[in-house]
Amino acid sequence: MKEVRTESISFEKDLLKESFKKMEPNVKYEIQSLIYYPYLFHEYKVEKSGLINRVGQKTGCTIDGMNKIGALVDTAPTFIFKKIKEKYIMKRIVNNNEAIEIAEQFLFESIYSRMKIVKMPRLELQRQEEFYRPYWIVKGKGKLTSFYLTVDAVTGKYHPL
Amino acid sequence: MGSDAIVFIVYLLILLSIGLYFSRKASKSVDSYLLGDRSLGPAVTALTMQSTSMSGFMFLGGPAEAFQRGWYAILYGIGDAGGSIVNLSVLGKRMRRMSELLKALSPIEYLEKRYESTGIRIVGAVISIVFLFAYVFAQFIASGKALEALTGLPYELALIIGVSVIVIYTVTGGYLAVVWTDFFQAIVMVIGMVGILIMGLIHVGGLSGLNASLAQIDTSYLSIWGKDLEFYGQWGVIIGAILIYSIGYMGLPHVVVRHMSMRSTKTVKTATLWTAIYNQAMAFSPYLIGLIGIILLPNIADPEMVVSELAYTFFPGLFAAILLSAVMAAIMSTSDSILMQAGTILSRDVYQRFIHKTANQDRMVLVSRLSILLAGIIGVIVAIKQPPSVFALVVFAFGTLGNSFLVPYICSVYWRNSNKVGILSAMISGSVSHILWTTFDWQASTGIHPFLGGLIVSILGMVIGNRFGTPPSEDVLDLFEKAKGPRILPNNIEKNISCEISPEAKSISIFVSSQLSVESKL
Repeated sequence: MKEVRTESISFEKDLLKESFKKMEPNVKYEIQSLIYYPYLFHEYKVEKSGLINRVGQKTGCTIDGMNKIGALVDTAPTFIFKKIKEKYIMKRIVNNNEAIEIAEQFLFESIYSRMKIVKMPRLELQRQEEFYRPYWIVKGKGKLTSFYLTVDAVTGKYHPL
Repeated sequence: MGSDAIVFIVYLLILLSIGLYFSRKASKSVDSYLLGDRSLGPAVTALTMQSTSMSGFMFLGGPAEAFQRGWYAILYGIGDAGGSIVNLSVLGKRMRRMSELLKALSPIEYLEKRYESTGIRIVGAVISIVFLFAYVFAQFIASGKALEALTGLPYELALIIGVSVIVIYTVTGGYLAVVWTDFFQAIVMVIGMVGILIMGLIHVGGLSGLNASLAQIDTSYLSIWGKDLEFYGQWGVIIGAILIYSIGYMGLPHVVVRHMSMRSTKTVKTATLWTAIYNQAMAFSPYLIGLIGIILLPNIADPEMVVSELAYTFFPGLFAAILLSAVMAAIMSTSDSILMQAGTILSRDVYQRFIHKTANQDRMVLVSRLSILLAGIIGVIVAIKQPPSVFALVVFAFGTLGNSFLVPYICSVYWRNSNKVGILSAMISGSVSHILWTTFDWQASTGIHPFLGGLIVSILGMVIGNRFGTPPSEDVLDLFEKAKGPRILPNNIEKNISCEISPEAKSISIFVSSQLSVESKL
């Protein structure tokens, strides 16, 4: 068992089955397992962002620990600690320093294309935290076919495997 | 200074205050920054998403076209309303799968990766810049006219003030909490637009009364061939008018900024529904208002002022001034995002790639913002020297886009052996022919709308150019086959897949299968 920083599950097994049933009633759903996927969360203080908005603001982004891709966060995450069997935890391949480099380049791209500024604001890293997002593995079995999905247990977004 | 000008300044101050209040509120945490607040209800989200597309075209261009050409103008509305359906049914599934497999974030990046050619990215960037500038020039002209109506200043002076405000706002505005300012804007504009439409329809006796009155003035207003049957029998013009908006959108050079929701997003599906309802309702309103203008404002000097004249006719001066202020602010918010996109493309795809490969971040920002300033200056000169109509400029911009990108997109998912030479030929011949067709008014001699003409030339360019290129690589062909599907998912499950977690799904898939193989060995 390993204690990891993670997020609360919004889509528990029953809610998940119910949501899929509503979407496609003729399929049998079997929730198989819960996998913990690694990310690195970065919080930055952004200084001097334009003439009108001179106050320092904060921004956050995550780096996908497997694919090294950045993503802006929409709200400040709330983490909890949980003990998980190691066989359900994916091991990240990006290291902390590499993640900071990717995060800063990603934030530059985002600020540069979205903010009304004449000069690039200075970014100051305030915290970096590793966390694991839970993803369900769901098997669907219809009359003729069967398929696998992975479902983000926090947002309910899904994608076929 | 007139009282309406004071209303406009107060309106802008209110917008600024809303923006500052919410951005200061957000400054204490990472919430909202760069993304806007995504925890709003579905209706708010939908309205906010739409307010940036409510531009000078909707309030000035669309009504003017209907005022001048009658029911013919509604063809553009039909294309607009049906655009998303066409996009989804023709390209939707396959292109989405292909984008996922190629990990492309924008339509131009998609073509670059599909055809393994930086040339495509450069040509795409140049075409996008032409489109963006033509579109933003239309907004500049609209801003001059809206300010002229509000302040009573001469058009030239109003234009210079309007464009200066837009450029300064674009390069120094920081990041205001645009979601709330956009929402406030959208409410004022929707109430204004729908209010004018309802009052107008009451005045002319509903749709039947409208048609009866139009028939009394000139029966050709009711024809799909245009006033005085200008385009009689010219199916090339009619088809082109419908197609232009239904497919022009596919070439929009927007870039998706990847984001990760930190909590449940159960409102997404409803937001899409609200957007669809809103689109259907708003696609036709500008044209109907233009038709009402023919009856109620027969002697108006500038048809692009139909909406503002009707606002002053139907409502108290204060309300009309608020509506016009909202139009002006909408023009600002549409222009700033377009200018930002154009600046980004110019600095990254042209300056960094060809002029200064090692440019640092500050220089990139500076070049991007200087190009915005330059666009402002050129825009003012064009708009003063020889101002085209807002409608003509927007149609020109969308036509160039559609003619450049439609054939490449379709071929990317339906023609396995299409190659980069074919695609480049299609893009260049499509856009150039559209520009020439419009500039030299070949529609008059051929009876073919510039969009349809450009489309035919683009198809020919594709077929001929493809003969001279080398076939795509095995990797791309492999992805092409994968994108064809079929996935074995039921329809409703397939429809709601979240593409943004596709990289995660791929990694999880590898993890799960390696775990299974270990377990089976044990």
